Amino acid sequence: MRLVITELTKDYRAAAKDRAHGDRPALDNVSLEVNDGEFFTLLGPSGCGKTTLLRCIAGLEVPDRGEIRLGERVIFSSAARINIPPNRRGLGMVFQSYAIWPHMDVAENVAYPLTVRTRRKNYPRSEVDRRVGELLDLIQIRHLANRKATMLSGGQQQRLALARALVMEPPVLLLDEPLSNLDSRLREDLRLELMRLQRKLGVTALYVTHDQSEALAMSSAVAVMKDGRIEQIGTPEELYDFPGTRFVASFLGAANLLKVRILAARPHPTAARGACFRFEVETEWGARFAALGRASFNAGDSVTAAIRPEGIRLDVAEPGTGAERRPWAAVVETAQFLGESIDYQLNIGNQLLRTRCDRSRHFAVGEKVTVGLREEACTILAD
Amino acid sequence: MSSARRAGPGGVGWGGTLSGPERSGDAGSDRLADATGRMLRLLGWACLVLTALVCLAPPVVIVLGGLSEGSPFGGLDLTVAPWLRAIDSPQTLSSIGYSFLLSLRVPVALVVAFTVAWYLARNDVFGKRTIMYVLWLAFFLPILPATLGWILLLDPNFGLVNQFLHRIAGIKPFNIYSLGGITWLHVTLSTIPIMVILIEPAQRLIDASYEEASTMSGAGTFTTLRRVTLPLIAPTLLTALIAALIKALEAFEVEQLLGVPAGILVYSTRVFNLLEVVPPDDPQAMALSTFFLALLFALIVPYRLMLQRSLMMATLTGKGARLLPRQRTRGSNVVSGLLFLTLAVTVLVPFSMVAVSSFSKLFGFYNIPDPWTLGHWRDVLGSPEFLNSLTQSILVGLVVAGAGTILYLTLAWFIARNPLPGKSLLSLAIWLPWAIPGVLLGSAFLSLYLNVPGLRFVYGTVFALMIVLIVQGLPFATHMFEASIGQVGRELEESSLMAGASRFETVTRITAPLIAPMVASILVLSFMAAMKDISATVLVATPGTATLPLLMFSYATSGQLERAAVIGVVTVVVAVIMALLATTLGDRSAVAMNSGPRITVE
Repeated sequence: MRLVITELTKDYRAAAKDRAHGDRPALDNVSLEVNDGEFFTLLGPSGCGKTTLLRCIAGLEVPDRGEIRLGERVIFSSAARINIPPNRRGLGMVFQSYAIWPHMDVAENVAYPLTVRTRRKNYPRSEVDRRVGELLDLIQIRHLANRKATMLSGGQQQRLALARALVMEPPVLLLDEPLSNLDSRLREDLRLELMRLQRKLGVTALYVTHDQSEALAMSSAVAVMKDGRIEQIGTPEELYDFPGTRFVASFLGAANLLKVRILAARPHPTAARGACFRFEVETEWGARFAALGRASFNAGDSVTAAIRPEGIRLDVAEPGTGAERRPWAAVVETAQFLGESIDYQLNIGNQLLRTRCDRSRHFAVGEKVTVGLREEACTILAD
Repeated sequence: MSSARRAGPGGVGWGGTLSGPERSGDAGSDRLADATGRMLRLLGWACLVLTALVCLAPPVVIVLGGLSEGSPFGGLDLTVAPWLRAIDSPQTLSSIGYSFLLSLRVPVALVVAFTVAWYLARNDVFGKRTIMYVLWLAFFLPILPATLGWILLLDPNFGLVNQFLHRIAGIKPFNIYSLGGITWLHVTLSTIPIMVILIEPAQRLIDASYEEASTMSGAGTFTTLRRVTLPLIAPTLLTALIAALIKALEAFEVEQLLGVPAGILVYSTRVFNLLEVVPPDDPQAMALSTFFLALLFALIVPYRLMLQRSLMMATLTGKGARLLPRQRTRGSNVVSGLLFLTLAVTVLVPFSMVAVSSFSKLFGFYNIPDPWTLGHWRDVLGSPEFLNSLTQSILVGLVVAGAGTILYLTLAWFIARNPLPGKSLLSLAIWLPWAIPGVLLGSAFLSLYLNVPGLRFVYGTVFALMIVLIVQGLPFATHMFEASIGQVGRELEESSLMAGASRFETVTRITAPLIAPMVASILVLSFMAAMKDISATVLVATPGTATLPLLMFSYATSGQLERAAVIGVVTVVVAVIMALLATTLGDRSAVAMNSGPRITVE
């Protein structure tokens, strides 16, 4: 079901005098739309307001201003003074701590949403059993049905929490950093599992995470948040290829940010989506390169370029050819072996440049190299 | 977790459709849900206000009563005459002095209790479970039979120990009717046991890595204890100290039984004395009480403030201790032996003396021919007043335990989980009964029953006892419930809301089962409090509504010690059964109490 959030604001300072929440509201005029069947992710560093937003949608926090609409139904509106309590919103939620009830076994945990007073009459015992069994099958923990919930591993608890949130077929599933307590291997397995289930059931999912790789891998749309505001909304590819702000560029893929001057700008014909420009730019130390961008600038403007580490190619600077004195000459400062790739930090024009290279070439610390840039890996930011 | 823990302004605040003109979707049922939610919140608030008023009434009666001649209800006529009488009376002044002297036992006991608790928590001691169990038992057992037992042993004339020493050494060194005797009884049977019971789990819950980090920094055991352990456990120590001080000031029956014959009047017995003499001097009793009330209040308010601050600072109950207790050594076996010996002397000996004496013809005279008899048992069990008292006790105990626990849990949940206007003031008000000694609470309620229109019917019925006992247990039980609800992660309740359950259903199906061990403890404690209370009910009860302990008290104070012993044995048996019930209930219903479920990797 479609979820529309309009100008939502939540400020803890208004309610409590000395709560240490920094100077900004937890949510500052947030608007967004989540379409039916979408896997929508709220991404941002801790304290950016993404969990507060999720809890406001759940009904567990009350926003100060704004409106939340679920399909045709208004579930919160400060103007109309509507605030549907969380147990009447009918949303499913997976908590960061899983919140598995330790005094029930696995099947009882899953059956709970069907046995609450408001739904009990609609679900006879046999129907409850059937649906619980179905879900446990789907989530692949049928064999644990009668186990005490405290006797589950982290991954199994995660699956159980998911089953419990899905059993009543909610129109929207809310997920609050559900994978953050798992080890990296399990996290990847469950990530795939989550995507499979979401697609199979067609449920609209709203997912909160601070992990950019999770956000890029799973989502059909991502909203990047910072300080209670939305920085940018888009598909993972859009956000990655055309970050709008320095924050988005550095948060997604840890891009290098360089101050550059525009030499020339012209429309880029090959861009698939939306308006696009191709810029010739020059760095402060006089190195020139080409970059793409969504915002229009004129020659002579000072702007910021984002260069993603994997778009940088390194070559050995042959001594005696003069290559080491060219603007693209650099020195390797550090090298980090990451398994499938190697990260280098380069010193170029007295700035640090992060690069990520495959393992076909290996450079030693202190070695002189020349740098080449891939055009698609360079973006001119709007701010 | 941190965001989920955020209390106060988070949570669900105003309850929805506040007369909104436009609405969409299935607004009808939504409006209904809102109305129920608002009703529930209103109900909780009203409940809290009512309770606060009931708790506020006794102190108001006491303060006003001390400032007027006659009843404060019969037209208020302010005068300081009762105060002047109290200040003039040498007995009043000496009772303040004796109360002070007797309360000096508390800090000393705290040092002993902390040492024992720390040793038990950090070392593998032989028979530790048994030791803890006997400590619980000591706390559960009514103190009056134990007093009788010690009178049997240490009476200056016929006490068995004195008789024995007289025979072999020609001296009778002990006298139970003294300050020392009173202190000995309290220290061994209530002050130290309850402190160890409170401190030991708290000590165990402090993550041992704090102490390990100190050890790795090069600190020795003593430095670690002083600079890491003590500051961390300070809130618990403070609670134990304040609770024990208040208990020391309000202790009544031991002082009445052992102090009065020796001419030692303490505050509580002096109040009782003033109310029971003919003609009674209620105003002076109230004036004296106002003084102590102010003193106790001056203790409680800073304590509450400190407690709040320390709760904000750190929650120590988290992962539990990872430190394995230090291995059993010869030293720890010696300590274990000493503890067993001490407990045997302080707990088992006096109670077995009571049992023995209930079968003896005459207390302490065992050289007469055929000293044993079942006569006292026959007399007591056959008497109608025993049967009446027994049924009264069980009735009062069951109602106080049942209704009390529901009330305490409801109040604690509202205080812990809902932003209510004026909450902090209200929750301070429900601490007030804690600071009022039982005798005084009873007398304040008595004057309320007799003078407030519409309450007259309560007087002379068991309800009179039940109300006093429920109010007396309120502060402690509510506090314990509040603490254990605080340990239930907020997300455990929120996930139930998200599953579609109402707040009420969430409390009954999620919160209450999760804190079941605490519910069981409070049930049993409330029942036992009703089964052993003398001080709060002694003035409220009428001949038809006397409970078992009151019957025992009247036997004991009128010299029928053998009959009192019979009832003592009955009460002790009930106490032991209840203690067993408490531990089994607690064990069976115990679940992981961490904020999230424990993660166990297969």
